[in-house]
Amino acid sequence: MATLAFEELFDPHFMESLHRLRLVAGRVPMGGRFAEQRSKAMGHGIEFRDFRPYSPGDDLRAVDWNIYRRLGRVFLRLFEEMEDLPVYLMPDLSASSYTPEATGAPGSETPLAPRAHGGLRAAMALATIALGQHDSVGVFPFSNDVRVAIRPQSGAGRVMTFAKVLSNLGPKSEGGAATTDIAHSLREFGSMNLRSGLLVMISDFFDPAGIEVVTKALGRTRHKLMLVQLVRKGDREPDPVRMAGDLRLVDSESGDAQNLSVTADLLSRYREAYDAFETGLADFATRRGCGLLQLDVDEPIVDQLATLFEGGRYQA
Amino acid sequence: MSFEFLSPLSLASGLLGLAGALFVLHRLRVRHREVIVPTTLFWKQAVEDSLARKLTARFRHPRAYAFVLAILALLLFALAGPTSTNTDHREYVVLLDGSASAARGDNFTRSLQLTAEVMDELPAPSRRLLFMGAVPRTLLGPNEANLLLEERTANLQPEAAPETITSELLRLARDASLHPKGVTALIVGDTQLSGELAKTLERLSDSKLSVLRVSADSNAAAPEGDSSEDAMVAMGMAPAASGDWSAVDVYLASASGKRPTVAGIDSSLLTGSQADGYWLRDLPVGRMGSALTATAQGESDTLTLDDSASLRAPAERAAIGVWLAPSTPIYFSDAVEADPGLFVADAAAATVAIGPASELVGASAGALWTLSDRGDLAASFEASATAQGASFQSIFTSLHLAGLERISDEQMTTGDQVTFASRTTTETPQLFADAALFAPPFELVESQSFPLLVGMASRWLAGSQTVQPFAIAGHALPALAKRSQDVLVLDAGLSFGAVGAAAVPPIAGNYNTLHASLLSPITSGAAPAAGLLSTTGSVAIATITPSALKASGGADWNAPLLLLALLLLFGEWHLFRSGRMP
Repeated sequence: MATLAFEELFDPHFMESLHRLRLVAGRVPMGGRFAEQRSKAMGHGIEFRDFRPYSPGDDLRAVDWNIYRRLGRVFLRLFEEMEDLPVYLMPDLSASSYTPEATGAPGSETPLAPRAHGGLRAAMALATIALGQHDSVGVFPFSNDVRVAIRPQSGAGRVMTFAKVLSNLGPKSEGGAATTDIAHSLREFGSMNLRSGLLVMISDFFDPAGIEVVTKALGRTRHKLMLVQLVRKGDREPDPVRMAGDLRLVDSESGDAQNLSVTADLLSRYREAYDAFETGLADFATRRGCGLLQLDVDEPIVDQLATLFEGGRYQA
Repeated sequence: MSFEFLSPLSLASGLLGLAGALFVLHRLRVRHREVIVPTTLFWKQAVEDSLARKLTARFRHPRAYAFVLAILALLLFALAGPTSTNTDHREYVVLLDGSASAARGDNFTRSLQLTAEVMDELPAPSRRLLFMGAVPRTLLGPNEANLLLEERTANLQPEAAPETITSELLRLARDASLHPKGVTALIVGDTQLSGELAKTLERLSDSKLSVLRVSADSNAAAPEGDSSEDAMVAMGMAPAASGDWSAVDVYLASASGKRPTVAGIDSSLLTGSQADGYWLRDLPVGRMGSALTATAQGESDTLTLDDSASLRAPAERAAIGVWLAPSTPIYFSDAVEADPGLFVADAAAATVAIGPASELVGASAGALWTLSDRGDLAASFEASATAQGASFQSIFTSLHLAGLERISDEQMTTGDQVTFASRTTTETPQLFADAALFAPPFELVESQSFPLLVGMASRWLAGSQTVQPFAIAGHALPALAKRSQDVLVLDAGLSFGAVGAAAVPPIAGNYNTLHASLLSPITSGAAPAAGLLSTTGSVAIATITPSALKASGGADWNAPLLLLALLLLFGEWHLFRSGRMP
């Protein structure tokens, strides 16, 4: 149950449903490979973009001789440079994402798939979209640190490779349960000095440091951001059957236990704390202008992703 | 409902205490169920604002509390041993016959089994079990658990003693009259009631005592006598009728009426008849030794326990000091010196003083016999007693038997009578006798009973004279029973023909209790000795089976209560497992 089956990720119907979605970047930084995203650089594309006066050393093939004939001055024709968008997928592999959760009464509960599986399916979907438009995609799973699962690479033919790698990802086993440390993970990711691109963080964002620390760390990144928050219905409204009476809540990451008696008052306060968490994340996304998708891991992934792609496009 | 171990008040108090303790425990109790969650971040924030373990928090588990309280209450009820009570609220007294006649065959074993069955059926608070051996004793009191019965009857055996059930019935009859709902005596054994006793029981108890015989079969017939059996049915001792202080008369009777044999005594010394029993007259006390044993054994007698009886003679015989006033007639002095139980003493050391009233003034003796003129008295004899055990009238009557009042033909012809009167006093016991009695026409001093009169009167005044003319374990002499004034006085206010009466040797001094092993011919099944028993014959006692007592005993509620508690426990478990109850 820890890892996701390859067939679940490399599902033809799942792939087919993603073809209508596209990732579109405003301007990708220069230095990338030729692809379909507009680059900040002006080059030799086919789409005219601007003129500029000639300066020594410029390529004479770009001189607009019609203007020179009419005006007697030498201008160069500038065209759009089309490059790839680096997409960095950061799925959360912390213990909280693999917490065995269930629904129903104690003794007759129905187990639920780990929310990390939903995150990996979302990562696979985004990778498929990006690879399909020749963008480079890298996978950097994280928990209390980050590691490189797939270095940025492009090509639609690599979808199967991504599916295999993602299906093999599981919770970090060495050193006990993996805790969530987004700030540290982002610092490590930043130290890789990768080309600016789209950083897609797929996580439940249950960082013990609190949402303020998380948003501060996210604010410091130089990449464009897309936040995919893995949620469940029971996150805000705990199951009234399971979460009733005197409980000993054990944190899946730290192992800390919290004894409490669930009362209506306590539930109300819980919801207030959870709402504050969500509000903090949403406010950050608004300020940063990045996309935030609350992905219910128990519902179909593509339909929910589609809400992020207005008109089939996501403007990074 | 009744409670075998707890009173309803104790039960209610316990229940209240239990509810209070559970309430506190439910407030303090934490039954944590472990749940692994992705993060406790938000729960911690919520708990920081609300103290979940606050003692005065709201009551959190009303349903669980109700369940546990109900279960424990049911267990408490079951522990209390509730049974539905008998509706008539009668008291039940089970009388287990432990007399010698119960030793016949396996009678006693069957009686024990029957007793256990009976006790199981009777309501514990209002039943008790008495073992009717030589001395009745309680085997199981009210509210004592029936489980104790097996232990207490483990080594129980019939005793070589006459039946005591009839005397216990008399006592129960007296008590039953005071009982609001009456008493039911359940006899386990072969004891039967004589017609005379049945009537007496009815009269004494105001018909509130009902006597039933417990039998395994409700149609069981009354036990029949066995002519091949013989038994000692009476053995008793009395002061020697001859007045010999150093001797006693011993009475013997067997069930068959045959002459019993006495160890160490020639049987020809026994006088009497088959109908009236036999006497061993003037038996020197010293010759009796430690005990006198008589035996009556029939042909093919299988019940040997009732074949012999023993009697222990008085061990010590203290003499009484008598001071005779100077003017006291000399024949008093002769009578005192002739009686080995009396001696002439100084005024300071005497127990009894005899003399004219004028000379007895200031006497230091504890009792006075005043010789007065007849004009001063209401009768020939006038007794004034304080705490004397019996009336002087009995002594007077017994002297009549010895012919005291027939000493003078002239007295008989003139119709003058020796009369008797008594009064109660709180002071020194006194006896007033008309001095004229000792002169013509009475001339009591000429009677052979005069020494007896002096001896018995002195002993009565000294407080050491028992007035029972005969001490026969179990039965009184038929000749006495025919005269109402001679009926033995058993207890204060209760007179009866001495059936089952305890016997005490009527001789002055300190004595051991009379010990005799005797059987009732009724209970032994042997033919009754003529004249010893009531002539009205025995009456049939209604029989009842243990199962028939169930209605009065009520139902046991333990099992239903425990079952209900188990069901509630299962219900609580089910609700908890299904998540409908925390």
